[in-house]
Amino acid sequence: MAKLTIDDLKKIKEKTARSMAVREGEANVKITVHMGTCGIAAGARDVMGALLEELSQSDRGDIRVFNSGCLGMCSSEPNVTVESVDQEPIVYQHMDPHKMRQVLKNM
Amino acid sequence: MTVSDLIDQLKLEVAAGVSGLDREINGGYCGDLLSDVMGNAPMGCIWLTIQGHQNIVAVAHLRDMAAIVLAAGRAPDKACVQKADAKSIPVLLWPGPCFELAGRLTSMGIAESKDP
Amino acid sequence: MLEITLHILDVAENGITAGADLIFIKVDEARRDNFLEITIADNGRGMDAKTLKKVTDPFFTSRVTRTVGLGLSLLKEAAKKCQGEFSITSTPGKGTRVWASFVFDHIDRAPVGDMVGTIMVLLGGNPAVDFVYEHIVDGEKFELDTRKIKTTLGDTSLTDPAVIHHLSQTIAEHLNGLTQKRSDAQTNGDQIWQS
Repeated sequence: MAKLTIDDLKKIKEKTARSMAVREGEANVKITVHMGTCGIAAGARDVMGALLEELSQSDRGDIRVFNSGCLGMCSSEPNVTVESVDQEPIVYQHMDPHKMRQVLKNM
Repeated sequence: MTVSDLIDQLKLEVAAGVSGLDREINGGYCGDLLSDVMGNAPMGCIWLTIQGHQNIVAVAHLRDMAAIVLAAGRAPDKACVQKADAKSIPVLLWPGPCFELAGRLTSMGIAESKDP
Repeated sequence: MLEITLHILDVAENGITAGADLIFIKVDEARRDNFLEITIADNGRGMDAKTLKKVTDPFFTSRVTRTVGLGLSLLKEAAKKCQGEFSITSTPGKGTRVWASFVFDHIDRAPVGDMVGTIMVLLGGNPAVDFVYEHIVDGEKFELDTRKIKTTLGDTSLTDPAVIHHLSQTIAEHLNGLTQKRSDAQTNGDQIWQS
């Protein structure tokens, strides 16, 4: 049976130690990718994938990412809600991986 | 154009959802993969498919569709008819392929939808 | 759905919405027996018998935001289309188990799809949830248990995007190693030519 070995995990720890130190910070921004059936059908998984990929290469330590269920706005899926400290929540609609990267860049 | 107008022009048979014939049509969509239709069909469109089970009514309801056309001589199953009647979503029948009907609808002016 | 992993993602998210903090996912590709099975089990609040009966009705949903809950009906229909079966069992207070099977080489069977991408999204978006994921190809098994990983990595959070990125690459390598014949990135039609 194949499992992740101690070696695998140690390598991951080494590779990420430095970037994680850079990223330690207060959580000022919460990004929620809505992952209900409509969202998934419209491509929400790939939007989330792009978000995680961009964050893995960035220095932003203040962004936390979450999934949640359906927002109830199925006609505009994929929907992504961004909540920043001291700001009204913004719901980005009809998102795709490219748009997600743009939103992140402009944050 | 309403669903009723379309039925008159193309002589389509109504299999269910008779109470919804006054719905206004906003664009059209072709597709048999429900997740794709759910995610991408224009709101208020007319949907061409060969799927005849009750899930099509749920998808049509979600996208506030004007009507569903079952092509290729397919017929809706009993549960589909019941749900379509309950939700007032017309299910119409077309004996030929989707492609042929899509061409006819386009030439009749049911082209791009007004909203994304 | 376009891929079977998207059904898995959908059902797993249901479980998390139902309060689960442990999700079990199993993908069993029994190619020699021409069979594919998926199992998603959670330790969420579960459902009573009355609710369970209605759960594959696309017009039944526990949500208040709209009247349609399509995920389970889509999965049930997808399995039926491939001469497969679908079952859902649940115990209130304990959790729910969803199981679906498909004839492996059925022309209408969607590809298994990007399982690594799905796991990445589940891990990255649900910090408070643990996952046990098993993927079997003709008896060769790969297993992932986030509880064990968290213990080994010490205080490292599994939701850090860099950790998830490297973890996903490692998982992908292990999955590719399960069999050299894996070709799930291909379309359905290729199965006609698979031996």
